[in-house]
Amino acid sequence: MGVTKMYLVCYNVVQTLVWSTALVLSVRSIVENGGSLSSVYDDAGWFVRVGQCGALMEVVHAVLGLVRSPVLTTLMQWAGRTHAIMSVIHPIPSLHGTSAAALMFLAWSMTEVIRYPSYALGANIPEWLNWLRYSAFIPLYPIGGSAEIWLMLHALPTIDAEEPYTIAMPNTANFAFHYPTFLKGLIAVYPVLMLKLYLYVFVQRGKKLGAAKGKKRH
Amino acid sequence: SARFLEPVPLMKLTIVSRSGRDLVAGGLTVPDGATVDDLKAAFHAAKPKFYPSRQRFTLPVPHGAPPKTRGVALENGKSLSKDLGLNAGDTVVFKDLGTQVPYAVVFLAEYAGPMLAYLPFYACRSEIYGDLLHMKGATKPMLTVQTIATVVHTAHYLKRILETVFVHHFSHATMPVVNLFRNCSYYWGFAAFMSYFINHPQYTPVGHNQMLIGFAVSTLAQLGNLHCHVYQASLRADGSKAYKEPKRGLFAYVTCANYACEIYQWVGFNVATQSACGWFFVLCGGFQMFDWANAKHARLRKLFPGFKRQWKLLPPFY
Repeated sequence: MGVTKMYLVCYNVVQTLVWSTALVLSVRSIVENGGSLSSVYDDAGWFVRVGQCGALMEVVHAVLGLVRSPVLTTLMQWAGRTHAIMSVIHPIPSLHGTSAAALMFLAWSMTEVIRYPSYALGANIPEWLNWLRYSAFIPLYPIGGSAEIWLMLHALPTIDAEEPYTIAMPNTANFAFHYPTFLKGLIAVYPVLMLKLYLYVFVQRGKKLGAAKGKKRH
Repeated sequence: SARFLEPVPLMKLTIVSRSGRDLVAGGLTVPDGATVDDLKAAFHAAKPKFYPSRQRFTLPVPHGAPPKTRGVALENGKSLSKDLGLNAGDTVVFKDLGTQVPYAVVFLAEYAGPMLAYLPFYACRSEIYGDLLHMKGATKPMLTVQTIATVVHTAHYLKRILETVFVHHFSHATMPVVNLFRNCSYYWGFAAFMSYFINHPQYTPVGHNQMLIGFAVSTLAQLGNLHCHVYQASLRADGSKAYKEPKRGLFAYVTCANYACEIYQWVGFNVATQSACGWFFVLCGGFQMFDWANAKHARLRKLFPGFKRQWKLLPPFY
């Protein structure tokens, strides 16, 4: 196995461990609190942040051509999730104990715990895992995405008031950025972007699961 | 003898999709001496939805070829039997390229848009920044640099429109419609954002000399780009769509001299106007042109043995 392949397998194994831990901690938090979702963010948050920020490497892999994924799509997917957790939820403690935050964690970690092992196994992926890879997204995307939107909406009052990440003119770069306005715009296009991604994975599902079935028949 | 009454020898071809599905029951019949164009016309007659410009035919990939090998494409103008070696009973593979839009339509939409999108922020400054956005200083007089920037920006896109109508000879007639939306978003979006910041009441101009140098470089580069385009068009004055080797003027040194001029055009504009958005715009365009320049250079090397240039895209860097 070439160095690149070995490295990628290692990366995928490490991420599998990180996200499995996040999932286990999330579930354990719910069980230990008698079904309450309010501690999930605190209990699993560190691992989710590490896993999600670390996933920047996937953008680097795409840029370097180590994997065949398109750079822009990978970047947008990474940025969307990372923005949700690092810019919106993490800085606002009142959002941490919400059901939306917990559901988002569960949706993300369940998705990743299927995705990373799929990558690590590559062509040797068992059929049941491949099926999960292209089927679990069906409920998980809408749940995770809705949670992200809910959290962004509920972060708006704080962000409107505090105006973080905002650059005002005049300045020598002649550039301005009003984060609250950006966030509102993002919330507006989120459903559209999510739908596009959702439909795209459905198409992938047709190709990958259909092909697998075809192979079995011959 | 009544030769015109003799039956024309025909051949029947099997048309399949890339997944192997038979698309025309009983096959498609074309005369023996038919060209690819005739095949496309016949397919269009059998399947009215697929007009010729969205049809793409390839020869089947030979058995045992490495995965992801592409079949040999059937190019317009080529004879099916003489150039491509097809005989009666052979198979060709069809791919639908999707809804097509003429190149010229895309170019005009993506150039008229930014030309117009830039103007309101300059011409309706007090209405947009004052009445709509409630900013201070919206009724200030415009600065010299803002006026020149509007003229240079407008002239740039006007030049592009005129080139599209009068100069360019495109190698392809159409492109997929999704390109229309993607390209227009890119051009219209950046033009609006750049204009918003440059014409902003709180815009901070650079020094007078820097402005003059920037716009001088920009104008020179625009003229250079025009010269490149006119020269490139002259290579296809005979009406053919084939690739010719550009040799004269700046093309003697740079494979994509036209892209080099385009990049320096915007670099000059940004030096004069200094906006983060403008610099980001030339960076994005530069990345795309980098990809195109590499492909162009590779293509010319393949077509013209011994093709070599000191730079591919942007002297003195690459």
